Amino acid sequence: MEEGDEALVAAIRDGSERAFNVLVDRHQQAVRTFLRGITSWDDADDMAQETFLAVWTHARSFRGGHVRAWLFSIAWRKAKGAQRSWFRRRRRDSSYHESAVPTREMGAEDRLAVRQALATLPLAQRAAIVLNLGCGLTHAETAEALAAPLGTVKSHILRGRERLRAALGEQS
Amino acid sequence: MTNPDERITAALRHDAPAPRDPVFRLQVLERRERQRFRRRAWGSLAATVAVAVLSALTATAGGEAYTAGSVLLFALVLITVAVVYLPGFERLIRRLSV
Repeated sequence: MEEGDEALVAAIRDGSERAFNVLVDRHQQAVRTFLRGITSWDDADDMAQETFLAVWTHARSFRGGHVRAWLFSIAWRKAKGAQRSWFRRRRRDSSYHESAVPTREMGAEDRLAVRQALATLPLAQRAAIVLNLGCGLTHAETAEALAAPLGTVKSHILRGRERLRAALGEQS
Repeated sequence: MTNPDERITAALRHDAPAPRDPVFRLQVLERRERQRFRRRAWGSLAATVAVAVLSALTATAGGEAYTAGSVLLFALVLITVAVVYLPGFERLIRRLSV
């Protein structure tokens, strides 16, 4: 039977290497998808690694609730911290624009349009959109992960989605 | 795909990493070990400096100050050994008891 996330965090708290490996394997895709959505690829994987390191070091600080939301909240704090660094921001922005080169693959226009529209959104709005639409979190989980009021998150998602729809040439 | 939300979701998920990525896990573990090593190295260095300073002070002192310095030095060495080796020892005990 598959172990629950809370049991894994409890085991990590006791120093279990195995539980840590399982947790990383289980959530790395979601955490990296989230961070790739709001920052550059290079920074995203770096921050994802820092997120899991923080889980290992601060497992005791987990006070119950959704483990996934807790992981995203750590990743979000890392992303916000990195946003404050001018050098990192500059590197991220240039990397972001370089990676937005159109390809001939199917749906490439959509991806490019979404990526460019995302880049114009404020960080909090971008994070809410990526968590909700990209990672499949509910509004409540998104609010928990971003440590923001539910109403604010709903408004971020609504406005962000309108911008993205407009970028795709759709009516909202 | 006509639903705009589905198009947005597909675009956001297109660049998602693989569901299983052992390389990423190894990178995390490697980083964790490096962090652990750095902490221990700094801890040991700080303790060595403290022991050296205290040894020098104790050697030059006489009478009661010498005895007090020696006791303090012994305690410092014990604390250093405990801080550096206790976590590993604890893990070993836990592993053997499971």
